[in-house]
Amino acid sequence: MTGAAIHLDGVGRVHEDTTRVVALNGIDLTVPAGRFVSVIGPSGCGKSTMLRIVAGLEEPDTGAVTVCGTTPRQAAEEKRLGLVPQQPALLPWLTVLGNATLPAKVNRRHNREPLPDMRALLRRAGLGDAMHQRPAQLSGGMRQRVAIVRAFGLQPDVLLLDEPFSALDEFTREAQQEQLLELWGERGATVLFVTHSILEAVRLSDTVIVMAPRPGRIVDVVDIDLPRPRTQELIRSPEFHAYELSLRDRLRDAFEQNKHDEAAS
Amino acid sequence: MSPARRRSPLHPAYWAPLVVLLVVLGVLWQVGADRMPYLLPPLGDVWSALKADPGYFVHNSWVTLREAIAGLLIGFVAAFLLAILVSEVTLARRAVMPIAVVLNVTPLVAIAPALVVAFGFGPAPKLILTALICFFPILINASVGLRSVPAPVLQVFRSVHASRWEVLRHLRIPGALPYVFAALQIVFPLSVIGAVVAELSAAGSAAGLGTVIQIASSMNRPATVWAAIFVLALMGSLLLLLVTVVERRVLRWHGSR
Repeated sequence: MTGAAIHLDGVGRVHEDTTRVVALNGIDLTVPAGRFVSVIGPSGCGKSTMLRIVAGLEEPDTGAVTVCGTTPRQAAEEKRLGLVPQQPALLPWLTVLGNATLPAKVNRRHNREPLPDMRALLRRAGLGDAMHQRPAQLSGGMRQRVAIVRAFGLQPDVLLLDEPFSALDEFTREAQQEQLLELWGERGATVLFVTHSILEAVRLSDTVIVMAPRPGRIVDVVDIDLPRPRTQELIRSPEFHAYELSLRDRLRDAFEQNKHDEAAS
Repeated sequence: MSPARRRSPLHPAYWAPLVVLLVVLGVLWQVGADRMPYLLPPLGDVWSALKADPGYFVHNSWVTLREAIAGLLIGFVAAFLLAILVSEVTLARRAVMPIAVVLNVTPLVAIAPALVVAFGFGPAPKLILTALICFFPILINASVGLRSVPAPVLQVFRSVHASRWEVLRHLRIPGALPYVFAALQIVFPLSVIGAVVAELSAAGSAAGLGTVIQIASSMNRPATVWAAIFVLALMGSLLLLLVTVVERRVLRWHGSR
């Protein structure tokens, strides 16, 4: 895989609902194939909107989006996208296995053959014993893992994750990140990962996009030049901390500037 | 949970209150029957009426039950299909729902005589009335249930370009089942009411418990009237039990059952 997997050119989006919030303004973004890119920013900066636009769930008001060289809708139709929403979005009446295999049962024409062995994939993700249980019997972390396995099971070119770990406690969250990285390392995919955790962004990503609100815009793009796998020692290393601190500063700048703007207007 | 709630149904603490109340009611009934013979027949007479010709009651119960179930089925299929249409097509929803609401506030038992005039003494008016009475609760519950799929689940399905039919088949219909069963809990007993009311309005009907009541009361035989009422109560209870058992099996995944 070479070239840009995701390309946004001057993308703008206004939410008309209540106060005409400029959700996104002039977003230019190119994500090369196979990269793990995180999007971070305070709430209201349009990061989830951007994800939904890339997923083809929302249309931009201005600008153009290409995913895998085509429109997001076309990419969705060809089953090249894997979406992991904030909530696991599992069906309570299906077992773990049933949930994980469900995407292969819709839009079958575009299934990417051969289909992966979902049982093996679930076992790989530590869900072997839970395979025949229903979501209600699982912990929050396990549920989210099922959602991630479900997305990987599509063998997508582009994986879109919208704050998938934000509802989990610190320890569970770390284990989930590790497993996500393992699956990603084995299966590969271009990843767009929305988060509001600096630590999570640095740990997971090749590149971190920093966004600011009102209007939602990209204020910085930071490449994380840290080796993989990102071990516990690496996370405790000064280099890792340096990235964390610099991201923290950039985010604070974005925030401060925003407050000034508000005071001025 | 308190220990009292975990006791088995066989424990006296579980059934004793009900039995005591039944005995009290029975005694009151007998006293009432003794003082005012035209108000209530003695329970013994009711029992004798049942025992004298059980086949008569079985036959008539069967007629009423068949009308109730057939009417319910017709109403269910019509309401569920319409619920799908209404939940998928906004235009249909705007056209149909106001009429459905008016239909619901119309006392449907009042149209029973009109149905008898139009369709005669055969099964048709009974089926129509039962179907109409069952129609609205199913339509409302099913259409709410069909639209109860959480947004994130829909987004996942849209991200793999699931068709409308696939969304319906995999998400909306299974997700609507708890709502549909809630409607069935209401509608199964209602179906018996529909059948009986239609029978009562069609005085010349050949059979059915409603007809039994009609004939017996015109011949001043309160014991038979009450025997039929008790059989109807039993029938309604058994139907409700049936729905509950099926619901438990089908909705094992559903937490609130």
